[in-house]
Amino acid sequence: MKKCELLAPAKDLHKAKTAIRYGADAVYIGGKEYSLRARASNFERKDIAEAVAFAHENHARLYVTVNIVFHDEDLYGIKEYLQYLESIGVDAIIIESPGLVRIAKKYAPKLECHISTQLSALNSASAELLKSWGADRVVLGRELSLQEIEQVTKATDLPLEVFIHGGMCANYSGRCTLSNYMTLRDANRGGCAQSCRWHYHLYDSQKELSDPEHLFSMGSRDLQAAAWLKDLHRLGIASLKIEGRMKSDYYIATVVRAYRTILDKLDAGEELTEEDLAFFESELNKAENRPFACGFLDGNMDKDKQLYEEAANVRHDYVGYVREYDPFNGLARIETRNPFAVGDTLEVFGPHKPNRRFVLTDVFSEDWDPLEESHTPMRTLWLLIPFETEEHDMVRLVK
Amino acid sequence: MNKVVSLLNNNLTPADLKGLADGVILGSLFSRYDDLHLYKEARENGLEVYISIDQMIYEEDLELLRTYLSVIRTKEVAGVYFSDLAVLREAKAMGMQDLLIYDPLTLLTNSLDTAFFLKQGVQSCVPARELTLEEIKTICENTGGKVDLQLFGPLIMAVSRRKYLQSYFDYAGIEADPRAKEGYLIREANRRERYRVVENEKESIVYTNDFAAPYKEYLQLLPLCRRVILCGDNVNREVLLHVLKDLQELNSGNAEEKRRELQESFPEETFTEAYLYRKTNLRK
Ligand code: SF4
Repeated sequence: MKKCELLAPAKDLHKAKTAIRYGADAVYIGGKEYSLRARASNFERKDIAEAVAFAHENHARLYVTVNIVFHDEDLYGIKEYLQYLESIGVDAIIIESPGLVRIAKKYAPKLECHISTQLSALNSASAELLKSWGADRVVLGRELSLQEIEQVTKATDLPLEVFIHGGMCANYSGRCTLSNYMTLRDANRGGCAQSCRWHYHLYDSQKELSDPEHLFSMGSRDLQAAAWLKDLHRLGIASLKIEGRMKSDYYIATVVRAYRTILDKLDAGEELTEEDLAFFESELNKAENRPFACGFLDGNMDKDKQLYEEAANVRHDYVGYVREYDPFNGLARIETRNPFAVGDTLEVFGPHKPNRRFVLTDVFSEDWDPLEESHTPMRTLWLLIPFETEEHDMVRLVK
Repeated sequence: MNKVVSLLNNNLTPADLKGLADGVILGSLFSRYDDLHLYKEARENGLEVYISIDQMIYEEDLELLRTYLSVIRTKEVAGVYFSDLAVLREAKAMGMQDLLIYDPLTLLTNSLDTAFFLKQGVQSCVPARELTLEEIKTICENTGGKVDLQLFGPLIMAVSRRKYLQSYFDYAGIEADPRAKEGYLIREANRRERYRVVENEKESIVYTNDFAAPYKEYLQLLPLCRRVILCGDNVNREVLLHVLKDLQELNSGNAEEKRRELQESFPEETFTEAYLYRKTNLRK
């Protein structure tokens, strides 16, 4: 059976490399042009080229989102951009516009065209039509249950991509103008103000029905599909996608690593026990997120999928990124993120290796002054770690 | 040029539209409308019938969709508005794509895609409502005017498979019918305007609660398009009839005055020009 691809997001070059190091088979990025996250993108053209080279050196693939819902004014220069992406070896573009698929196929034929979830493809007839227009893959709408996904897989041979983790649009992606109407920010051109997550009073004509302490909202819990991977793997879904192009390195490393480990087990034909699942779910919980649910996968759309209280899980566990390790002295040079102190129990994790814990006894500044604690992010410090670590490992606090 | 009107929850019947509109949008399966039983009355009153297949299609719907399309083909139907690409695929397979009008609400925002869908054989396309007057004109000009424009009525702001009302009622312990015909109103905690939320078996829909009525601009766009749509979903029947009568008599000399009179006649309503002068290109 063909392996499921694990597809991770990246906001910048460093995060793209992190995703690949931690086990992503492919990374999707948005350039500064034509992407829903264009404004937030840190990918200059040269960075995209470097990301492609890094991905290919590591047997991974790189996709670029060209997924805004174009207005006429946005289309200038698109042909040249697609040709540029093709020339640097980008593997695929993620694209909403069927008209643009045709242009891409004509002027940059080596680029695969993956149809964005903005188009809300939910059935095999849409997938087949898109295939006839040149689509190489379609990202299914997040509204489908596992059973519905299975029905689609049986009726089309077009490779399918399914979201497994991250934030969810409450409405059919692409068919929401809450943000446009309320803030003049175009959700389909990267401006979404997340108006679905706001709180609203609810009225039956003039009478307020809502409880002022617990107002109405359309907001959704985040998706977490660890328990569903076994079935998605069985269905031969081409790609399993993690959402979060605005997220941190720590998020990407934590989430990619957890799903990578599950997929490796499934690829090896190993059973995924309840215990395994509990462990992976606790790992996924260590990355920042809103409360989780399984989205539409179980076929239910009840109140437990909605988010009425704002309860984002903002984590401050991430202590730092390992830059180097000196095995003679047992010292790791780290770039700090969140506060920590001598006496804390810390955990080191890295690509393709288990979590290892230790109690922090010694911290030194760059000038070798001993320290008791650190409160400053992005500082370089040395930590005594009683086992070997290496560059790109991460250190986190154990609660 | 035709004026076509939808009738969801506005207490109008096709007979009320006689002489005021050219067509009526009805629906049954895969639609928020459930008034296809008015087909005969519409035809008897000289109205063209358009059918709306506005809901998203799931795999288990495909068989029924094929049957539905084959029945539609036998009726005197002037057009089928559709949103999900499955409809185009199935209609193409049956050789009836020339009946289709592509209306994906938000996704048709440029001339390239509009021309692309016309090339697939559909008779017309409905550009997104959140376009400016100039953007709409450009699309009309670039595509030979094979577009329908929804210029009047409330706008759909969002469609979801979630059960927004039922879920909230369950969460907050509210005893109310989420499927109440006219739906409910919501108001964002820091804003004054209200929006309508309507829930049916398959989806929740959020509408603007104001009424687009761009009289002057209607006159400019009229010669550039194929049909103008008046969305009658959940609107006051008197407002809709008043607007339809105004459109009969509208000319460049009286448009502003008639628009003023409309507002004065219905002071509790908010009439707007929708997005025609509101460019929504702000980004993060
Ligand atoms: S407002 Fe919510 S549902 Fe709408 S586009 Fe933004 S995130 Fe998606």
